[in-house]
Amino acid sequence: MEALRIDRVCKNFGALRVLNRVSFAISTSEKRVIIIGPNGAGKTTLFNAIMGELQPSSGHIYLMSKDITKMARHRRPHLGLGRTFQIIDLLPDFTVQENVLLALQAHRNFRYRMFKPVRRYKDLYEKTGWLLGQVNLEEKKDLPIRALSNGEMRLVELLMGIAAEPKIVLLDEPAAGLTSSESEWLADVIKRVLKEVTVVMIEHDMKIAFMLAERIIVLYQGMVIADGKPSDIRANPKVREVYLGSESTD
Amino acid sequence: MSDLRSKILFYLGLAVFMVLCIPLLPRYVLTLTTSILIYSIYVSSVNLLTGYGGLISLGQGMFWGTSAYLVAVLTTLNILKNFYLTTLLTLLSIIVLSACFGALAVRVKRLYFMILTFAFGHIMWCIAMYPIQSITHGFDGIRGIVRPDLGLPWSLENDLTFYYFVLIVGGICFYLIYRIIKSPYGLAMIGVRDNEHRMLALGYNTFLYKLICYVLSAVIAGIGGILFAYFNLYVNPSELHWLWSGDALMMTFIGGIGTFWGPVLGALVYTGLRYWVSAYTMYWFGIEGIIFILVVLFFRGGVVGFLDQLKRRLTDGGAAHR
Repeated sequence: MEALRIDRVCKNFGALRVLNRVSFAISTSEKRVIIIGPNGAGKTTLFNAIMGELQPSSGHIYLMSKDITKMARHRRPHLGLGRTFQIIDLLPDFTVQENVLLALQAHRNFRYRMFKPVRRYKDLYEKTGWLLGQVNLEEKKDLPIRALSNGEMRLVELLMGIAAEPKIVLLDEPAAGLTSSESEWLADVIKRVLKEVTVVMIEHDMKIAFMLAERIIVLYQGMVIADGKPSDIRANPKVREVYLGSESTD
Repeated sequence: MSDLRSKILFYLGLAVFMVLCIPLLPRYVLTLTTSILIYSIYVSSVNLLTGYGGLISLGQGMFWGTSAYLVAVLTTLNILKNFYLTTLLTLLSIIVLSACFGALAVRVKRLYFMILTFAFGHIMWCIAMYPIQSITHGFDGIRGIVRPDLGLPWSLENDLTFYYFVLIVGGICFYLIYRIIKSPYGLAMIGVRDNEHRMLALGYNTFLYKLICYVLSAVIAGIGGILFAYFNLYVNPSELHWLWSGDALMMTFIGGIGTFWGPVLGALVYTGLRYWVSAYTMYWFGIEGIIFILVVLFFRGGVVGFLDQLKRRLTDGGAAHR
């Protein structure tokens, strides 16, 4: 089954064309698709279009074969779409537990109930505890987010995206700002925890990208210039020229 | 465990004080306490909207005033005699009114929201002032409201009985607010206040959360307005004026915004000071302004924040001795 299809999506900001007829499809059987590309290639813009944070200027986006191009933002996660942000975007005054809890609660029917205290929904707390255990954050569950280290916030950010068991999750540079050993550990967590989910991930770090990817899509100046297995991408002369080549000369 | 015990003791003490001690004090204390309680309900509604929902409104007086006016019109024109039906009809009108205004207002953010609520409130004020003067009597307001008949053996004509009535209704309102902020809805609503962007990405319909918050707070303000009409027996357009909405914000800040007891303490300090200061000087508004400036500059957390700090200092001091 097709999890996500991007169909000739364009996005213009004034005269600037950030996405230029981007098309690709990802099936539910693919588990780790990584989008790479230099700064300004349109990677985050693409994620924002998929999440509905901005409207494409033209083209269509399908999630689970359903056209979601114009669907309200808050409805998309309920079709099995999750995301994390490149710039950590949590509730800093809420505890770690409450953050993850909110991610789970969004998909429960009782999210509008206003009489029974939330702490009486035991299964919500159990699931939260289990998730925190997966990334060794159980002991910090009662700390506010602002008391965590950058790496720990990254883990919570990841949990927020995957807590509700989406079918497809968009990770926007999940390791941004981490040291290389931290990001290798995070890559390991992603590999371990996200076995069943289709992960679409933006990654800057080539090492991590090639370590994790089953398939790599290369975006350059708003266009898909290559799309295939990591070994093919590595050998692709166009990619070497615009991306890998420029990086190796740094 | 001792935490729970001190909590129970606190509430028990408070209940005993409110039920038994207040009536023993001089008459004017009873009247003053009744008005403080009614104001607390109103300020709590603002606190729910602003403190927990993050929506700063300059039009909350519109719901307080509209429901007070509805009660006044319905009862003085002998349209409805039954207290329960009057209340029901008033609150239903408030729900419809707030849902309509809210559906427009919560689409925009911060300053724009504030300006829209200000404009809506001003419309309601104008309606009371001008177009239907035969009913609302413009600037003069409506006199001749009588205390309601609950169909119970106790008459609310008696100030003491009325005080108990307000105490019970207020208690129910505070309890409901408490339950709401601890509920799944409440947690998500505070989440929307802190980070709407993330809540949307998680799949929360943040528009609906804000709208519900707006309607809930309008209903609570409306309950305050109904009580006020029966307490004061007279309503005038100043109940609808944006200054009264601003007063509510001020009381919320003075008490401690986003805290459960803040509104009550804010209403207490504000009404108490006004009563006391205006006996000595006519420059109450100036003094009110100075207090507000002091709170914003030096006591961000309001009275509740100040008490918290004091408590922490005292308990820390105790720990150091051990």
